[in-house]
Amino acid sequence: MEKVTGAIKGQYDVVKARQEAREMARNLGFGSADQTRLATAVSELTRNVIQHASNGMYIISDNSDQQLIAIQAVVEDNGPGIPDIEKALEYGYTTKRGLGAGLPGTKRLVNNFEIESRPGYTKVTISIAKKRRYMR
Amino acid sequence: MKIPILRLKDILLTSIQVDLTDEEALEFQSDVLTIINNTEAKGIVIDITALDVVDSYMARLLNETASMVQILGSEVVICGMQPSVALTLVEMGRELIGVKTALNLDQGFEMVQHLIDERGS
Amino acid sequence: MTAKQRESAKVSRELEMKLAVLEQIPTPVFAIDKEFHIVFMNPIGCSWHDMTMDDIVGRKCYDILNTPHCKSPECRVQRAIEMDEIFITQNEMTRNGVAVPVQNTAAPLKDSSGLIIGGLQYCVDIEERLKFEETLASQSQTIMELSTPVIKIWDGIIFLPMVGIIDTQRAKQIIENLLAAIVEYEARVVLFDVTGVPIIDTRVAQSLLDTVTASRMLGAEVVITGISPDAAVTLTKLDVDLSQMRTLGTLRAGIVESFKLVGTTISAG
Repeated sequence: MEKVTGAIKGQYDVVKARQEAREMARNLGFGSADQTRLATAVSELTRNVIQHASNGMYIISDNSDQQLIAIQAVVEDNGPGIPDIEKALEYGYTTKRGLGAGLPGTKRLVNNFEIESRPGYTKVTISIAKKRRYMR
Repeated sequence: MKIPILRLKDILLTSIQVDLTDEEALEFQSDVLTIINNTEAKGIVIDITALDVVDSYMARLLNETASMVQILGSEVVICGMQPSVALTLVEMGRELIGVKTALNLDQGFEMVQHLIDERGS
Repeated sequence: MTAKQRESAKVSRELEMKLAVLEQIPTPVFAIDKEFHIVFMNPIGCSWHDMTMDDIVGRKCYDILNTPHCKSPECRVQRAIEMDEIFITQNEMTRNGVAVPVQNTAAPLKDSSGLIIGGLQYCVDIEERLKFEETLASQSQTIMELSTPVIKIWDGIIFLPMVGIIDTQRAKQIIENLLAAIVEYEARVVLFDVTGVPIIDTRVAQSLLDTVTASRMLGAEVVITGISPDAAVTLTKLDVDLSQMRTLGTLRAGIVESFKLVGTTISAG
């Protein structure tokens, strides 16, 4: 199973992570719109990590099975956590620079979005998928 | 990596050719404002053809840059947004607001010229 | 021949016929015991793995077949044995070293008293079927694209006549096509006619709005015509800024407006 992982320590990692996400999406056969969606989502999530935690990591993996072509991205950090997740996910919630900024928007870009957050640990898992039209 | 800003008579042209880090983006913003201030250029066209990811940070930065340029008395047009990027921004709810956009450099130049003429009269 | 001999000969012929049929089924059929040892494999099944039945009987099925489902919770014959049910699934089998997509049927194998003693499987090569399905899928893709063609009607003006029901999938397709067309034709005006769309629900209305916003970011103005009174109600309920949308009643008015936006006037006669 194809997988790419990296540390998120600084702004260069944000760029690297999103480029890697785009590349994997392209390799798996996603179109340009989906590639951009995933890359943008990964960019949002990794940037959140640098802005609110000291460091973290990301794992982008090929999650495909026989019916679906899918990519999953997991972004984790040991930061302070998001105090009110429900509020942070509300459509229209915009703390411009606050914790969890950009989460509702990110959620709209992907097919699956899961978040786990408590003081000291946050993990966001996203994925995009499309139906496989011919078995490999 | 510094982004070059070229000048054609009264109009500035700059083209973002690489994926920018946050710091590089801020540097770009500062360069644009400095040059507008120093040269009294009437308008600037910012070409983002090469940007294949514009996340909320970059979108905000572009918006802010455009607002600041307008406050300094110049016109600004952003051109060359990729269709996927436009779509993603709209889906995220982070579309560029209050900035004139054009499809490509040709249209961008025409538009900024038009805006300058309008402002003049 | 005595009656008994005739009876015996008849049973013998029936048995021979059953055997012949079993041996000649033109697709792999095999049976395993509850410990996954192969107890039977028909000739064609054996030939797929380039072995004889002597070589195969007694071996573990997962060692010989080695499919993606083997030795995992996906194994259907195991489920069939445990749950006394028939399972049909898509899997991948190797035939002379080449991977082949197959439809796999797994069933419990029972003795004469009805006790489950193992499992029975047969598989069917579905490579052709999948190719056909792919052709069908790409044809329906084409149909979907054809049903929302983007037409250049003048320099800088493209026209998108919408017909039929729009679901979110189609809406997505339409927006992507439209944005690509704006770039390709360097369009400054998009004329979007929705006369032929009977129902516009809130999701579609939102998509419409997104289309307008995205098009404007590519430098194109959008003119929408043909909105029905019902659709108008849906749009207003959306609680969004509709001032960004130029809407006109008739296509005619829309065409005039489009030309005006590119700086050309049309005069009748």
